[in-house]
Amino acid sequence: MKCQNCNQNEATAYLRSTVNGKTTELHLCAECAKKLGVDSVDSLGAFSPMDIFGSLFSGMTPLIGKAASLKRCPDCGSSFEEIASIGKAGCPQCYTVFREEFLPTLRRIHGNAKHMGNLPSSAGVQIKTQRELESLKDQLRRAVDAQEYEKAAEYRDRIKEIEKQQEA
Amino acid sequence: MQKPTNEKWYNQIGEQGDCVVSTRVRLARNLRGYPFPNRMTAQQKRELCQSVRDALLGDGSALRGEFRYLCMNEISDLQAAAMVERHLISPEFAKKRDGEALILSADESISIMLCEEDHIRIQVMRAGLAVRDALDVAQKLDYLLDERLDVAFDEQLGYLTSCPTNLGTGMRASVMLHLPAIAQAGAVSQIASAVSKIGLTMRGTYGEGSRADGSLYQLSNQITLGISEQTACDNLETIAGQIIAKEREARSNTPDQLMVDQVYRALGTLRYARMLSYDELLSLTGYLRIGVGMGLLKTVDYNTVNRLIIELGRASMAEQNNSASDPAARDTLRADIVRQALGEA
Ligand SMILES: [Zn+2]
Ligand SMILES: [Zn+2]
Repeated sequence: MKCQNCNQNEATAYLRSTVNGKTTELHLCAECAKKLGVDSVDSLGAFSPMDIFGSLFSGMTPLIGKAASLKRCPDCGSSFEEIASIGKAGCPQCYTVFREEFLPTLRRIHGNAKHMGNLPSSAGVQIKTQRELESLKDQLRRAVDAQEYEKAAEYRDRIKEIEKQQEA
Repeated sequence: MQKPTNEKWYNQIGEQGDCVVSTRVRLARNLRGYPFPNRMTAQQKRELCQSVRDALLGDGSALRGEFRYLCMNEISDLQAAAMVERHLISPEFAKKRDGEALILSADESISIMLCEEDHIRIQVMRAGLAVRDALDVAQKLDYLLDERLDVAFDEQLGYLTSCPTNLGTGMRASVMLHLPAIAQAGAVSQIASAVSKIGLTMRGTYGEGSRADGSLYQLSNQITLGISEQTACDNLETIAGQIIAKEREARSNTPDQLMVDQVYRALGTLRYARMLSYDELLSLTGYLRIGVGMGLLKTVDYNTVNRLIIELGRASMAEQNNSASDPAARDTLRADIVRQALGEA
């Protein structure tokens, strides 16, 4: 496994931090660990899988801040700090890696964070079924409002059918 | 897809031509397996451009006859500047040209920038108000790409784009409005702030910064995540319709006598001037547009006005005419072309 900070050296240190219930795992080379000031744990004999930030350094927020910045996209090497400073992601994979970091900003920009537009052919069956259900429920509501009960019954049957398939 | 034609899109008749110059719909798409363009090497760019070229214009493609493929590093600075003026490419795309490419339809209504901010930017232009039509064409191209390439998509975040502001649909739809009466009444900023509250933006266009030469304003959707393409386009068209109604009302409130006088003064200047700057052309043709709307000008139509403002930009002129690289010569040539278009005097 390569170091997640420099993406070059072999990782020899493993760190895990839990901040607000969110766990971040980090694999670092000795050099990067030293550079980022987390090598002091070496003297504690702590360079083994253990919950360093969660237990030993739980009060040290600057260290945790540094630790968060160590996470890098495995595809392009971007850290979230780099992304935030230029306002652009490095590659499509960045959105998966930093999803949680992106969400607050996305909610602020767009008012929400749920795609409602077109789907490519590669989109999963599940989301397509979900979309169909939403559309049927919408049509059902409108048919009821317009007192078109025959149509409404048809929609209701199809909704039931899909929901039954989902349970199975 | 529309009928193949070499007639430029801006010579075609548009809806609501008294207030709307053009409509543009843009879709941003990216491919899995490559970083976004700001992190790509020139070699990666060339590779990606080639795979999009193969997908859209490969053997047996119906689009082959209709589209041209241009490597941007083979294009001169002047040609690139002219493309920016005609809104075929963005100013940023014109600046760095190493590995980027452009796919362009014969009528210039469809341009696909490869390796701009995103891997693929499909852009469809239409004369007048035609948001749904433009979206329809853009989506047909998107469908072809989707069939042949691995487009980056996330079920929660939609189409993945370099800039988070484009996530979701990756769609930016905009209409270029001509609003001289609203501008004169000083109501532009009020409208701009009202539309910003419902997910749209309105800003001045053509000029530097927010200055809107010729009272041209661009109205676009701002939000792309959590809204469907169709809904965003419907909103845009509805609000454009309301602004158009306001503009017409404001025009009708201007005493006819005053407006008629301004229209004929503009026509007089355009017909007789021996030198015309581009800014002056924009502001004067604005009055022509009003004159056409009022039914005053029998020999001028919206297409003539649109053609003049699109073809007589600085770089477009210099590209077409060797003698037009010097500003004074260019202003003289511009006046000559305008006189010819509006009836020699
Ligand atoms: Zn390292
Ligand atoms: Zn990345």
